Amino acid sequence: MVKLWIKPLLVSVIVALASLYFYASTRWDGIQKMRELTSVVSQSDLAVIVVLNFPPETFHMSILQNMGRVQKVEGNQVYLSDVTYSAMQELSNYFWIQSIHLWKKDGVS
Amino acid sequence: MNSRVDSRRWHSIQQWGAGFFKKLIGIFLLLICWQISVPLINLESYFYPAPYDVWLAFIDLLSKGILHSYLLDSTGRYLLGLFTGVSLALLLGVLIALNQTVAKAFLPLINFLFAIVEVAWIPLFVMWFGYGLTTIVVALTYVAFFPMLFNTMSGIQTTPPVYINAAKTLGAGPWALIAQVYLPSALPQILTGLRTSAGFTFRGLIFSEMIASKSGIGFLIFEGSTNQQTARTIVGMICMGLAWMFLDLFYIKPIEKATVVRWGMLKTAENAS
Repeated sequence: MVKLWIKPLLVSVIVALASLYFYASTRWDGIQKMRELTSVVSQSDLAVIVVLNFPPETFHMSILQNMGRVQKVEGNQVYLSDVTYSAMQELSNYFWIQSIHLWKKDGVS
Repeated sequence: MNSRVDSRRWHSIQQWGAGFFKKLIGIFLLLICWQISVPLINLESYFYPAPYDVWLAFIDLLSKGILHSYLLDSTGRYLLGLFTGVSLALLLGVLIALNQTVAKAFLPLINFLFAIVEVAWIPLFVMWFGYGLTTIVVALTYVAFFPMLFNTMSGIQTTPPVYINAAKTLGAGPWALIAQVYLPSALPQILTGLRTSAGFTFRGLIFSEMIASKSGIGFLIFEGSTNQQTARTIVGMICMGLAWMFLDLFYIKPIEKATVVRWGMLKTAENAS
């Protein structure tokens, strides 16, 4: 009887473990990406440059638009303003985001 | 002794491997014919992509995080819609099958609604609930509802009277009758209903996401064709097929085997011979 239920149970466990691994690795990457940005924890209207591994598509832009105001896009870089620290943390968890930098609007990033 | 066990195990692995490859022959043939046809037809890749283009589109979607996100969205909507529809149908199916008043009150309405496909409802749902999760879940609930309802009703109504009378003689009350006679007796039809609902809901998901969503595999298929990214459309279609095969192979079939097939209530091609 138990043998008959092993297949669905085993598959569920494998799927759950794979999801957990994926979640944990993206969280870990997110922590690494946020390392240089801990100085701005208390600020709420940050301006950041989000660097992707590729030019952003509609899918990525719709996510970025939810996190702040998109100012411009240059190649793989998206310039966002009015970003909160928690939104930045959320952004850092996306594996397709390579890095996040503070954007100093005088032109230096 | 050990060598005999090893050879038996090796033989069963060989048999499993042979069976597995036999199942893949059709897919390989399709891929070969498809690849050969591409230079013969000689059309632009956005019009008729080769399997290799589809593979590249698959890798591209994976590396950009689009496929994960869309698959997750679609799976959540599918499970939610299927669960709601099937639960409602099971409840109402039992009520209608056992209660004449409920049957008289609801059957004409259900028969009327059954004829109206979900595609006709989706524009109305969009108007009422807006784009997104609610509209899709309501549409999927509607799709999942009818096959499950009719199968549950039929299963309960065909319960052999001898079981009902025997249980009543032993002093079973109405709840005990439902739990211990009607539902176990109707289980083969209920599982058939679940399988049909699961399949219909899968198809409904594509329609719903094409019209009422900005994410999901259905949206990927639709967006790919409107943006002339045909390879992405095909990736979406393959994902749907694979997701259904996964669901059927690892959940629906084992559940059937563990219940109705094991109890001898349903004959499969394997155990009939």
